[in-house]
Amino acid sequence: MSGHLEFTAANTFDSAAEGARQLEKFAADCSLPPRKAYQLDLIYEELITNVVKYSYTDTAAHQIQVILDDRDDVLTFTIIHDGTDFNPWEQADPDLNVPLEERQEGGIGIMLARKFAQSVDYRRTEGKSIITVVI
Amino acid sequence: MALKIIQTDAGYTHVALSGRMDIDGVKAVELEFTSVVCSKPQSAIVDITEVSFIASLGMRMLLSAAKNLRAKNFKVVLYNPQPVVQEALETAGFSTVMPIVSDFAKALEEIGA
Repeated sequence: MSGHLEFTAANTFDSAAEGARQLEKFAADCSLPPRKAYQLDLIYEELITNVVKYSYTDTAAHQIQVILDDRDDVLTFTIIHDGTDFNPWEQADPDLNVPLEERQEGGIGIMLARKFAQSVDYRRTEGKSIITVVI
Repeated sequence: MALKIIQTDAGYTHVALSGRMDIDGVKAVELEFTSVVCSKPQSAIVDITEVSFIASLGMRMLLSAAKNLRAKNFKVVLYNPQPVVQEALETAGFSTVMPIVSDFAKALEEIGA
């Protein structure tokens, strides 16, 4: 199966949630297996939340571009935004070898996205950050 | 996402979550969940049979409740996750900080009920 989807979301949580519904339809149209659909869903939510929360230092409206490409069982997911130059993949994972009392609540999202991906990439070109994940 | 309070009077709290534990889902239930699970000095069984999706925000809600109860020497036990949800929880290292069981008798055993 193959499929391609591109859409833009505004830098708001409501718009990000609307995008999640488009992803759900894409997963169904491409007949993605449940595990892969879940991974895509999770990676989208973690990355777009991160961008909406941390990438903008102003209060203006911004457009976040989302591109999905499913070909020959390789699903490539890309987010392009004009926010700050920040590579999420350089963020350290929370330490999972500590007891509950000391367990960090932050950083879980990006760690999950990285662990569910086959490969991840980050580039900054012409004032835009391009985050790519192969699932 | 919905929260159902099954009971809180049998020596432990028993609640069930259902739906998507994403940004919207967590926003809808977090206050009530935290208030029900953390207000009584007793362990809690959280039935997640009907949870179809969990991301880090939902995990944070569970982790925060487990920490709160742990400080009073009680536990949060997660009961009956779907396979994809279980995989996400395990990938986030949850199995080492809170029991995840698919047998209710085992859940009761975990909290000493």
